[in-house]
Amino acid sequence: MLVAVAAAVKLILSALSPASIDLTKIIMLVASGQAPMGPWVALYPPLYNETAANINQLQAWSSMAPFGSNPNFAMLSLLFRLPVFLCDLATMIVLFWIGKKMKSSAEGRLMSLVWFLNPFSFFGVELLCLPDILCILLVSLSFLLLISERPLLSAAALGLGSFVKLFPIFLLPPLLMYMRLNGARRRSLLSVTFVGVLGLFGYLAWVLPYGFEYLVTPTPVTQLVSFVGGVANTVNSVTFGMFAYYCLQFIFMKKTGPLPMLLSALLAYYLFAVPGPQYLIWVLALMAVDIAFADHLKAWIVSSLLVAVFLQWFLVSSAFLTPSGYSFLMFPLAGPSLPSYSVAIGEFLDSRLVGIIIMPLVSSLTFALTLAYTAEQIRSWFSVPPTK
Amino acid sequence: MQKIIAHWRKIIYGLLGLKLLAMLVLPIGGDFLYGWTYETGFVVRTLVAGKLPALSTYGVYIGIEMILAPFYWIWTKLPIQHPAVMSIVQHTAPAVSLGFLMEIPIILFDTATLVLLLRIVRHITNSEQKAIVAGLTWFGNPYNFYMLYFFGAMDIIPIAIFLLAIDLELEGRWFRCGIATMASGLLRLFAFAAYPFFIPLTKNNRNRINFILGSAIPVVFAIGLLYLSHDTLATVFNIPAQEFWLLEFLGFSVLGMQFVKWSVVLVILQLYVVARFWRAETNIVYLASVSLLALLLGATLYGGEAQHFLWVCPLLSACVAMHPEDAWIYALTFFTALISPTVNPFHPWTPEPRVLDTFLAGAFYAMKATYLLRLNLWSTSTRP
Repeated sequence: MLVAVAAAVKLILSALSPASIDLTKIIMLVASGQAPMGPWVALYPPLYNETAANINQLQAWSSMAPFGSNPNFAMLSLLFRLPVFLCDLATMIVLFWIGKKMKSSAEGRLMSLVWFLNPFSFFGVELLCLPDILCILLVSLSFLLLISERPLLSAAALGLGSFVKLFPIFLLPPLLMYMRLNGARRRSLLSVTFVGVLGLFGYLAWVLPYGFEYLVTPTPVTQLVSFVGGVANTVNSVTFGMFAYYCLQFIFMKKTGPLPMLLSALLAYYLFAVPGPQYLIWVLALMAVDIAFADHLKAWIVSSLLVAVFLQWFLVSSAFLTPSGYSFLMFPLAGPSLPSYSVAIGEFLDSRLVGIIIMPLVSSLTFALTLAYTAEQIRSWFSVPPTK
Repeated sequence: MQKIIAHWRKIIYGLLGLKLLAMLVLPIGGDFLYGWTYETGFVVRTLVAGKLPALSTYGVYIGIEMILAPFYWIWTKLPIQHPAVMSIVQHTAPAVSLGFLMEIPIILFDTATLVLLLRIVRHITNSEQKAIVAGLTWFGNPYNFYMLYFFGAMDIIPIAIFLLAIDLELEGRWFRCGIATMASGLLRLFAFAAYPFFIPLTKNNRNRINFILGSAIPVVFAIGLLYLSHDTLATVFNIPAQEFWLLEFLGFSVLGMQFVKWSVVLVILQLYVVARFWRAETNIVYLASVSLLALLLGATLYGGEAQHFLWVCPLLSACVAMHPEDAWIYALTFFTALISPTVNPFHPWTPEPRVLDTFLAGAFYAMKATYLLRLNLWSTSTRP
């Protein structure tokens, strides 16, 4: 019942909400004729028709205010977001099965609700409308297959995820380590590596035709490869951080469940490479699994983190501003004759108080809480129990 | 050592005499004392005119300057000449009397810190001897002597109030503890870093509520004064824009991320370590020490300006008394503090280029980090 209501609300808001900046960029990318065509295109039915007239209409839609007079625009909005919504729903179902597999249906329900009812996931999935949700679904599926003792299929899901966007590939080393700790044979390890790496090659196959541009230039459909670029002859912090992380994991991990291994690897990548608020969504599905078994302190850390990251996102995105001049929260933020509350919000966001005090405090709090949460995962490598 | 402890009272009286002598002999030109005196002069003139000095005019140190005001006012009533502070001539009767009067709060709160340290360590360890070690390492510490009587660090006022909060916590007086912690924080921001570390010790809701209610009183009092002086809360929010150096508390950016600040991250991580790993029977001295050390490690490249380290000094004295086996860390920390570029009294006269500066700053920073690690190890049980 709860899920049905939430799903209905999500669909209605998906139809009404203005297009996000990222979605607008995707449309512009397609309009430029330079878009690296990959599996992400399948998620956006309105982009199947690449005629100039259609693209023009899509560009007009992306800057339309919500509650417009044209009902076709609401339908278009829904059409854009429907596949993404279905992936969201599928992720919820996968999480339910994970919970059921790990303990019972009650845990499964808790995990799926933590994911599906979370406003952060609604903002990060339906409203942003990015292909990342496909990767999140495949990562969750990979985890489900791993705990179902089907490592090859699990690696295949990771590989597929990496084919869409790069980040699931960083879960391959912990997956291999987990298999090795559980006595997997060399042949099995090799086949898992092959299947996983195949996804990486698949990703490069649709990105590299444009040279290195989409490895070093961020777009909503490709992923910046943070290991390359930067100042020449200097240490790349992401390369250093991830190498060090994997080495430490290899050295110190003795025997642990797959969740802390995968979750800590994803968190490490998030912290080193892309610590922006909207990317926390990559970790959220596995976090939902972890929360079901969390103790009091971990629950506190996760709740505080979600609040802090949401607040940080609100501040850095100028109250979720979209190209239409409206916020995702449906109030106007730019344009003529703004209501007084919009002006007040705009003045608050532009104030020095936000820029020099609130932003640093909120951002640092988010970063520190993510670090603490990562430490919570890493702690389980050593099996150090709490002493209180 | 036993001989020193046996004659501790005589030593304290001797040190007290030495400090009084320093107050008479040393010029008023000490970096901070001069600034405090100069600013307090304006505050006194406003008070004498029958007005409350405003935060918007006098800045964030208004609280400490109000405490100093009576001493400056007494000087204005002395039957001597009263030249402007900027044109005062050293070693004349006006300069000596003004310097002496302005340092009276320092010696008063320095002595109060000594008394509170004796009480705190006696309460925690049940040992008179350890309490005396704590008292002597505070009162006879050359670093503290230099910072207080040469430098004129008025930080000793909120420090003593903060120690009073710790003493009240140990006695289970949570309401008063809340008042003292918040009052200290309002005078100088440091105490706010330690504030959340008090919470785990409250143990039950009654204590927690008392602590929070107590904390509200200085805030209400401060807001009342703010409005009486015709300022508003907006003045408070505008402070960081006017006094940008306050933001150095936040420390430098982490991994090139503009808004992620090192000291905030460190304090929150320390809070996590406490909540997850520390033993339940730990005490507030360790908690306050780690919170302030974490803040100092984060704040600015040198890990805090010269006078900032003073905040943690009485707590480190208590720590060394409780763990004399690690006295070498204490000694080395204070040695590196004294020779660090922001403290070193001989620094202005050392020849250019100052090739050793980064090394000395690094050594001090490393010792503070070591102390932080050691404190965590004392208080953490990693037994499986």
